[in-house]
Amino acid sequence: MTQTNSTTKKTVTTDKSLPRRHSPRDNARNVDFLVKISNILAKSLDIHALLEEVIDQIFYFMKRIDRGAILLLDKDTGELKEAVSKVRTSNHVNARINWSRAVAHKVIKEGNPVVLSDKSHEYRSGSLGDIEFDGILSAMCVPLRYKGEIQGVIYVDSITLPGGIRKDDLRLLSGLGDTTAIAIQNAQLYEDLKEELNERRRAEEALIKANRDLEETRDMLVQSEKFAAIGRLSAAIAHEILNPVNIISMRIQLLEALEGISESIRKPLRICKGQLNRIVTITESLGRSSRTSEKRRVIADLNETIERVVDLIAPQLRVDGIRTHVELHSGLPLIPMDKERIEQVIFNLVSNAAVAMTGSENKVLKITTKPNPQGSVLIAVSDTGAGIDPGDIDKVFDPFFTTKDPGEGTGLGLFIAYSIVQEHAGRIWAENNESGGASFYIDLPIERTPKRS
Amino acid sequence: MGRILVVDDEIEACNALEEFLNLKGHEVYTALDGPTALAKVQEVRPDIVLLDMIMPGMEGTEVLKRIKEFDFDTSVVMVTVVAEENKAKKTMELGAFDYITKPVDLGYLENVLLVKLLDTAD
Repeated sequence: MTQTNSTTKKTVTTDKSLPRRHSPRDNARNVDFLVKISNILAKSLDIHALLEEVIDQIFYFMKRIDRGAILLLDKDTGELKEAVSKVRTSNHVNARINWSRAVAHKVIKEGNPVVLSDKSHEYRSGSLGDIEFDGILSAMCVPLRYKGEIQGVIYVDSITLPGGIRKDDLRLLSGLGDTTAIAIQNAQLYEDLKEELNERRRAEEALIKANRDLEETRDMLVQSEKFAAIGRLSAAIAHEILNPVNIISMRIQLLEALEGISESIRKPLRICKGQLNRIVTITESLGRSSRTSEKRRVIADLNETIERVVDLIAPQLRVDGIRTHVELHSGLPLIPMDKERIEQVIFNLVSNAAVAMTGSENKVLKITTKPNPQGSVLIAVSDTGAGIDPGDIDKVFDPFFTTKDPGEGTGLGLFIAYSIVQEHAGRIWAENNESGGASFYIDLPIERTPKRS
Repeated sequence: MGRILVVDDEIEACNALEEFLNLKGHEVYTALDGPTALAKVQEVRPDIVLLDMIMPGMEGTEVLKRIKEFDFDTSVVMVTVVAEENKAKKTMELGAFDYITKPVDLGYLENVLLVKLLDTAD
């Protein structure tokens, strides 16, 4: 601290020869330094941040040095790597310095601190050749040692002050080396621990994902098992249902063929025929393997399809006291669809809504369409019925799920709707709405999507 | 008009078809199962057999094969439910003249029969 540029001809040897007493100021400095460093070391578990702090403090307390680096030994390769370095003239930590490899390696090899000045024997003998070459006038290097194992070194030097390193600087740096070594070890352990935790977390995440995949696969299997069961049943069902339907149908046709039948009889006969056709369509959709052929899909206007269904069912809705609001978006893009099957979906949803409102005072059916900016069209069918029990909201599309009285519903309507929407690569879901009823949404893609396998 | 054998395991189906075909002036016979049908074919040599695909005991396809073995001038029209349409199409390879689906559209049936009968008359 007392040195100035004009009185710099002292050497390390001179320092040694003079028994020195620490000035109170030096002691204060040293204590201050160690306290600061200890605080840093205790706090920091990030090796790099820790070493940066250490080197900053070294520069702050050792005014005579103008370059410094902390070098760590790579345990695997035995290579000495610069962890941090600093040059006084530069504000940047990590301004790379050309530290003396010879000095560092000597410390690593022998395990003792080395202090050099331009006057020392090694310096002059050239045994540490690169020092002179780099114009280093004084250098000091201490090992970072933990439990006898050398982790690296702290290296500082001066290219401006010859013989500028004092003995208590060495003591300070040596002490610092030990503390830093412990801190590095801690940080290393911490990093290892962190890595272990990360690994564990990754393993846990992988496990969770595997679990989720497994659940999804299981759900899919259950779903396809359901489909398969439906497929097996459907042929039998179709046969069993269509035979009596066939007889009724032929009888109606025979009645219609009779001469002199009044319109008051023809009309109900027509309705009967229409209803029989419904049955046929349902059995047909059940009987057909759950996918329609792409061939049946045409680019069509969804609004038209909806209007057709509403026209068909409107008389029945009026009889049931249901007011119908249809709000169809005029700019709806055309979509590829099997018109008959989509009609069936709408029909099923509307029928479902009508039945859901049986006990309601205010019966309003609302059907809306609108384009979805994500490249699809959204259909909503809302009723003012009693809504869906939250526990049932995932089950409503299951085959044979019904809350209707026995004989009133087959539990297939929504399942068929679901299957058809799936065939069209769309999405169908149910929500309870503000009026206490249920809303069913269908999202159908505008683009023809490749059929899912 | 023709001589027609109606084969269906459901008696009401047979009755309705018989009534309709009678109205149209055909000579109608009925059978409720395969073996009876085969006996009837040999006995009355019908122009056309309306043959149900799915019957207990002997299936329609089997009855069709045997009728074809008789080498009579008998045409067979298969009657099937919609879901079995693909199977019905295959019966054409076995020598069926045509197939119609349940529920039967009587107007369409009459056309099919007329076409065949006119064909035979030529």
